[in-house]
Amino acid sequence: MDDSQLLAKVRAGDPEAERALYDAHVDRVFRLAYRMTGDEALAQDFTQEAFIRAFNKLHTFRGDSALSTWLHTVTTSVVLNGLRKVKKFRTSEIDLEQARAVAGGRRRAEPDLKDRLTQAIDGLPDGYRTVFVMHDIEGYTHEEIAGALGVATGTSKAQLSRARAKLRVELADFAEEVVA
Amino acid sequence: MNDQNRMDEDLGETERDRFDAGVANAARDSYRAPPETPRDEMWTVIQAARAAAAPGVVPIRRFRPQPWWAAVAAALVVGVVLGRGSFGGGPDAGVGLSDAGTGTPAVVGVAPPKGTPSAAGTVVPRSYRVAAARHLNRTADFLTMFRVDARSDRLDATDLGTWARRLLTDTRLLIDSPAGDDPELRNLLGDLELVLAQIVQLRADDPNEVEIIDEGLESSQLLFRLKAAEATAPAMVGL
Repeated sequence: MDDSQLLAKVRAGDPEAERALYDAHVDRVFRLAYRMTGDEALAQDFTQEAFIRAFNKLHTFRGDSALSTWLHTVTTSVVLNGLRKVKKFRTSEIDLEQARAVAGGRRRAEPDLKDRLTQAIDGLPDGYRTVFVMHDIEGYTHEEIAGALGVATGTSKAQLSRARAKLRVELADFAEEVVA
Repeated sequence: MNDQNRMDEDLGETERDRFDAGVANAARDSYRAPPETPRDEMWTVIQAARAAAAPGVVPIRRFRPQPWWAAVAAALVVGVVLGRGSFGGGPDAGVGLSDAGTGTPAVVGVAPPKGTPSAAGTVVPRSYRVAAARHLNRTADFLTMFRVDARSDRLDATDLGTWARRLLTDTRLLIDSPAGDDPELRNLLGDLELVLAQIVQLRADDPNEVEIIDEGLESSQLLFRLKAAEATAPAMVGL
């Protein structure tokens, strides 16, 4: 079934088509929500809200882009907007994690790459981190990222470039391990 | 020269690309690796929220007395009347709610449909089950919208309080009715009572309270349990 057939059925209220649309896209939305929050319950809430919003807005889809592109733009926007609301909590959470890491890290002879990588990504500015997670980890294109964030594709590319540069510095001690 | 420039100078373009690819690979494997997507669980909530927002269902923020309140109230009243009117137990009388020594009749309500006793073996009269099923359905809708509104900062504490107060009253009535003799239902109603009481006392100027209630809903999996109870509602009411 192609997008237009699926869309017609969903608009007609066909529950099986709704579920098919959901099944086709939910993994990608949930994965991003989880990568961004690190919290399963929060990722579930954001994913649910994203699809509720997407179904409610489906009548506004005019076919200018692929249905999947439109759906990901809507759902990703909801996830990222939701994240902004919990930013305050995340900031304090990261501060605590970093404080623990600093306190504990000096006692460890060799902090492993996994821990350092997590700290380095968490420590990126929000904009850099979002683009890095979307592009380099979850495989979104710059066009998809730009659509979801409401920025130009050039901005997305620039943010990614800066994120990678920061990670290169943060993880310089692990260069051999990283490229191995 | 800053660290970044020094690093970029030390690494050639190819090495930089390899480094970036290595970081991305490592991050894909280890950075907050997502668990399996809970598809069905999320779909249940999505469907419930959409149903609650469907035309014909009154949005929570714009509270007006609606006929369903009358239906719930009527069902409760009918339950009480039937319960009190069937002491003695004619051929249609239900069995199983025993309350020896308190003066409360041991047999209440009309005969339940076969195969609907609770896990503990108590049989709740049909009229109470109907009232409970409707009440759970409405409360699930209310709490779903509460969560959606709480997360979008659109809560209207006054309207919420009005709705929650009514639901709380009915919850209390159900707990004290023969429906409360079903341990599972009583447990669910008890958790509902707590959350509804918190919403009744919610103050518009304290967003922390909303978060506490939201977290309570999450930790008790109340919505999920309500959805599960709703899913069994047809059997529950003998339909």
